[in-house]
Amino acid sequence: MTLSKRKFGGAAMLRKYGIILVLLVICVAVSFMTDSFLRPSNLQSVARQVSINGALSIGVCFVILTGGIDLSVGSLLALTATTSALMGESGLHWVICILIGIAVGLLVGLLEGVLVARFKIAPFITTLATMTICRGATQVADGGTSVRSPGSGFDNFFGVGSLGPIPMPVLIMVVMFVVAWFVLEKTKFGRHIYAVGGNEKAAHLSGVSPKKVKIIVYIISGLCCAIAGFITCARLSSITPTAGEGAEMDAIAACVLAGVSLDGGKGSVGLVFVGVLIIGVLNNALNLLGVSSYWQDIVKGIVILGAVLLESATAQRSKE
Amino acid sequence: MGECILEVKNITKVFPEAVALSDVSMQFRGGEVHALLGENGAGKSTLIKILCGAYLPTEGQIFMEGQELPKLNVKKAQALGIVAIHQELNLIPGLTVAENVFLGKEKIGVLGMVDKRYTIRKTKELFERFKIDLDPTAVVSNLSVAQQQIVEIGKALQMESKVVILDEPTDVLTDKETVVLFDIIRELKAAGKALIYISHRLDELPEICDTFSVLRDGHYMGSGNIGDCTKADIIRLMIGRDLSEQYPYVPGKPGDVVLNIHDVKRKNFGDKVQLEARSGEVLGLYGLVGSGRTELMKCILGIEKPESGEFILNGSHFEAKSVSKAHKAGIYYLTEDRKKEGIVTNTPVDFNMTLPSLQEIQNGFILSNKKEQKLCSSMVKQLSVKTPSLKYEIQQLSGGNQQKVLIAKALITKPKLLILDEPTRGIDVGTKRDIYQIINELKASGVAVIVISSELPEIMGISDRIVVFHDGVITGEFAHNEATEEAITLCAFGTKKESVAV
Repeated sequence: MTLSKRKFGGAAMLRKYGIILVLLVICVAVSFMTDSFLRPSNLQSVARQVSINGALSIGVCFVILTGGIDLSVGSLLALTATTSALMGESGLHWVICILIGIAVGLLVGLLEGVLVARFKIAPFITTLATMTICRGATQVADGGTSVRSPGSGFDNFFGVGSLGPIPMPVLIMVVMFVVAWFVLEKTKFGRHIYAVGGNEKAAHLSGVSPKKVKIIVYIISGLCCAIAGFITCARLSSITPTAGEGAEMDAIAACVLAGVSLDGGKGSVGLVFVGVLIIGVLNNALNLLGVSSYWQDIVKGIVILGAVLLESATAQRSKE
Repeated sequence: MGECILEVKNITKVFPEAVALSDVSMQFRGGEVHALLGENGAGKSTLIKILCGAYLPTEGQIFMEGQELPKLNVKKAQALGIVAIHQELNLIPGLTVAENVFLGKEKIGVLGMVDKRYTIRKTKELFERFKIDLDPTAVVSNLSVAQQQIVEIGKALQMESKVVILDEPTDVLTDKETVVLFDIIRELKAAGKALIYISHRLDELPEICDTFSVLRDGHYMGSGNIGDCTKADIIRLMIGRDLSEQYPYVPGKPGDVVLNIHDVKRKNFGDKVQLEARSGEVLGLYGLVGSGRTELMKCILGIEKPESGEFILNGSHFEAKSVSKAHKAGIYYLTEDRKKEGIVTNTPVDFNMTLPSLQEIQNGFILSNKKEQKLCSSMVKQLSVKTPSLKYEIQQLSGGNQQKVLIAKALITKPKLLILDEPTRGIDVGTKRDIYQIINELKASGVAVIVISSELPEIMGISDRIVVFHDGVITGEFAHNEATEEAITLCAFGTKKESVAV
């Protein structure tokens, strides 16, 4: 077990970047199996679809990196979007509606963060509770029916509009990923996130405030939910009470595929982007192939398990 | 005296970092309480782990009633009747006493259900036989620590164990509870079991033990009957070695008082503590594990709130609102528990080094890779840290080099008061010397250094001034030249310095 072997071994590279390979393999396979996958219109629609999960995954990634988990993102997506939409119905300008929606996302995030960091309630339980509360609150607010989006300006900005060939939601998601990457890799706060997730006590003795860091990551997740909510709402010009149901699972799956450790402290948001693309391409391919939605879930589950197994196998080997 | 039940012959245990035991031979007889003595790190726990089958010895043999036990493992050891009762108890809090005693040995009755009445009856019988006064149907989480310990002993009895190892059993007990425990130990002795007893409380040994063996630095130093030796004899066996070579001591030039710990008292612990740390001086805090030194230091950082008293930093009142505020005020604490509170695993060396000082490597609010590499490589050079690169994950370094990284991390914050808690724990001799040199250099540059150590030779070898703690109270203060091993050890065991004949 020499040092150089460990550091530069191919297994380590494969473990870290194997997920990119998985994405490429899936893309190549799908493009052989269907004619329509590589068409620009299809690729564009894949990109649009992944933007929602992409936005959510960023928030979830921040939370998981500190050793937490966020189950509430799907419900919070619905709550923020519905609040904005209702504000639009009451005649407010769409920009104000956005700000109010964002405020709701930040507030719920703050609440979750305080419960986790200050009151030491397990993140799983905290966000399980806020998940149901947010879903319920959404239905109380909209009376169980869809609400129209806050207007065409809103729809253009978050949904149908595009900058050159790039649809707005995709642009927003990409900007979010770049900002997230920058924060995690290039700022003091990013370092603190990894430190808290890696060893909370060591971080504390190093002058990091684990409480502060934890509260902020839930707030960030709340913000991401709001943006994902706006994209969802703008796409169909309305938001249903069941919007984003189960979305938390796709977001967590994207992080897991990317090798973000659920113990915290380990993972790269850049790879989460790849994880998001894998899930998006898989969804699209199964649709193109005419697989029934029941079977789609089974296939998705198997792919996630397979990718994680592959990762742990390579991790084992690089240890030996 | 009974037959020799358990014997170890020429046991050596080598870890990648250090030799923990070297050619140790001992015999443990039935109907006898055998005290296993030694300083922290002398190799007692390694020997116990070998006896329990948790470690395989590198060399040497273990015999049980004349039979050699090659490749002993935990399961085998338990089946043969070797049971250790550790300080951290292994009970299931939600179950009853009887259910814990018979855990894994339940009698299965009709429909695969556990026969509760059987376990309760059997536990009662067992307890009566050894005169244990405890209700088998009580839920463990409602019991005191002392009672829980007795449940552990009950578990050992249920397994028909022949060798019972008690690892500092009285550490957490009150005097009254200790009396109860000793009565039970006497019953076990009368039943012919071999007992191995580890304790720091030398005073209680004559009361309960028959024989003793001493380990020092992994070497066997001798055995004897407790009745034939005085406490001073035993202490001399436990310590006593040439200090001069391992410790490159240079007298300090004590300057101004940097931190004054003024009558600080912690909640429900010890008494008011008055202590001064001066610049250019190494202040050594000695005491047994659990004497409250670490917690006192954590009070300075604001992690724990003292009940009364205050800290005076450079002449004015100081209260740390957070650890980073303490760092800004020039106080840095380096933990005793490298793994749990020191290193951030899975992150590289440079990440760990700069964590408290990220503002030093910022351009605006962007972290500069260039600045970080420059700072870290100069520290690596200065402390001669052996690492393949700055991007190497810290947990893959040796313990000594991890510690050097953590010291580098401390130095980058430019501390005026540096608190080093067990700075050489689990580190090889060579790196220890490096660390002592670093401490000397810091002292020479005018830093106030506080070293907490449970290794007596270390404290005596590097400190300009030594303060001894016992149960949260200062029992003695010694200048470098005035300190003797015996006097310090007596203070650590609770004797006031004034009554120690130096």
